[in-house]
Amino acid sequence: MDGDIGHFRLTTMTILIRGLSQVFNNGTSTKAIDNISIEIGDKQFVAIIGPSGCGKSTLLRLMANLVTPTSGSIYYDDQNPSSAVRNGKIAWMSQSPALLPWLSVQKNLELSNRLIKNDRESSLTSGQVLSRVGLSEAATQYPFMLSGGMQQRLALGRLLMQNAPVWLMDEPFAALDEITRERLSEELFDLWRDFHPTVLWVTHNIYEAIKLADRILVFSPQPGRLIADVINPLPHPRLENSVPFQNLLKNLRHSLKQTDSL
Amino acid sequence: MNNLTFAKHKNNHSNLVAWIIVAIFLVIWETIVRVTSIPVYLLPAPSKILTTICQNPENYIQASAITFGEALAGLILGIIAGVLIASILTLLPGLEDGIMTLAILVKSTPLVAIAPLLTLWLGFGVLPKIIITGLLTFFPVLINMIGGLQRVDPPLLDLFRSWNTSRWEMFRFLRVSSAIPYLFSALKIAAPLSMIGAVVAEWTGASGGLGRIMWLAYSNLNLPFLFAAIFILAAAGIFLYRLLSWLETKAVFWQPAQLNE
Repeated sequence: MDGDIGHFRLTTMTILIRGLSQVFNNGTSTKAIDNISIEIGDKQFVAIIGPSGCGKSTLLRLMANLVTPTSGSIYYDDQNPSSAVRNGKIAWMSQSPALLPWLSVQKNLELSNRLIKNDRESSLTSGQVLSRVGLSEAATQYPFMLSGGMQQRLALGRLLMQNAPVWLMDEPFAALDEITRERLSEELFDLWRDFHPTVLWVTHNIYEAIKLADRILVFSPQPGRLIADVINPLPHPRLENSVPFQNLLKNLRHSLKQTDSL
Repeated sequence: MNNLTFAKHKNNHSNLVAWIIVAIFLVIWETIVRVTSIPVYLLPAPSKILTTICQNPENYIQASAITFGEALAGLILGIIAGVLIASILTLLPGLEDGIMTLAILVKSTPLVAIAPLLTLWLGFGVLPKIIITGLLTFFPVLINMIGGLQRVDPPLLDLFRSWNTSRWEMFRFLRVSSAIPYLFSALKIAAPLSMIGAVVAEWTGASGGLGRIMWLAYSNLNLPFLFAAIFILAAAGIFLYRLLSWLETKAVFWQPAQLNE
């Protein structure tokens, strides 16, 4: 897959989350996340699943320094989220492709390069990234001319272009139809295999989590607590019909059911 | 691209409808005046108004040049002031309360109170008209631009924050372009206002312009003259609105909502 892409090495990094809690005060105080501690090793592909309102998105927003935690700490090696963001360690992607509608596909891709100030310039040119995400033909088009899947593909390309060691992905494909979502999830997996970032991927799709992730974190809702931390040992490609796949699925379903009774 | 051609066809169609409605309106007006024999000093027929313009075109062309010149200069002044203040308030949010209070003060002072004063201070020339038009147009531009610069799509704001961009970069690369549709909304309000501003200012004393023609005609109950000026203003207003709508589709080509209109 990475034939003409050239060398692209990301430095190692461990993410350490300790006693993280987040309370939102909008009239009444809501506890979104309660005392979460996780350690995430370098280059892991971590899926975060849980019912809606379990604080998965909040966790990612805290990690991307979009929100400041009420208590607890997040460290990327020895850096807090603010300095990790400043040093270009983190790339962020959400359900909305967040494209600038007045810029062409190519210009959208190049803008991040222009605005992100880190010393590790992307080793990929915008042309290489576009061909990698299958948008070479669309380089001069504008976002409103693209389908939802192509828009997210461009957002994925922008993530790749950033050359950050950590990718925080908040339900990136949730708004897409099933076929497109599956294909994009596979492309994400290929990108991870080729470029080895640490991926934190919030999803509500258990199948996809088992298919792609090394490790699956299950959250309970209101307040969000970590209730299961499952290592996925299955070798790739993971077949949905295989017995181990089904067993893992059963386990995760069981964990998620427990969240209902909490 | 099919959407674009579709929108264009639709646009031509609605153009035709607009002209037909205007024509029907004028025909009804003409018929009522002729059938009921309303005297010309109360309501002249459209045909009478149009012949009045055609009998003395250079008079109206000259007056229009003055009024539209004042309106345009005032509008530009209002736009520059509105955009500039909105930008400053976006970049330095701490100033918002103070400056907005001042802006609302300017806005709530009645035009009819300021216009004669400015004429008194600055004379019968074009300058007081330009200032009044500027004062009148700057407020809608300010309000819309504040909205446009500050109401940016939240995922885009998150993205820029995740890139650790400075306030200025966010302004330059995100907020300015986001605000362009709002600028056009502002212009569609401010452009007709600019003509009202110029005309009202001329009523309070001027050496020329459509407002002066209207004032003289009104004093002499010469209604064809008065309505001739109104027709010209109305035509200019429609032309300006159409021009702005067209410019908007060119400048905001990237907003899909434009295609569905």
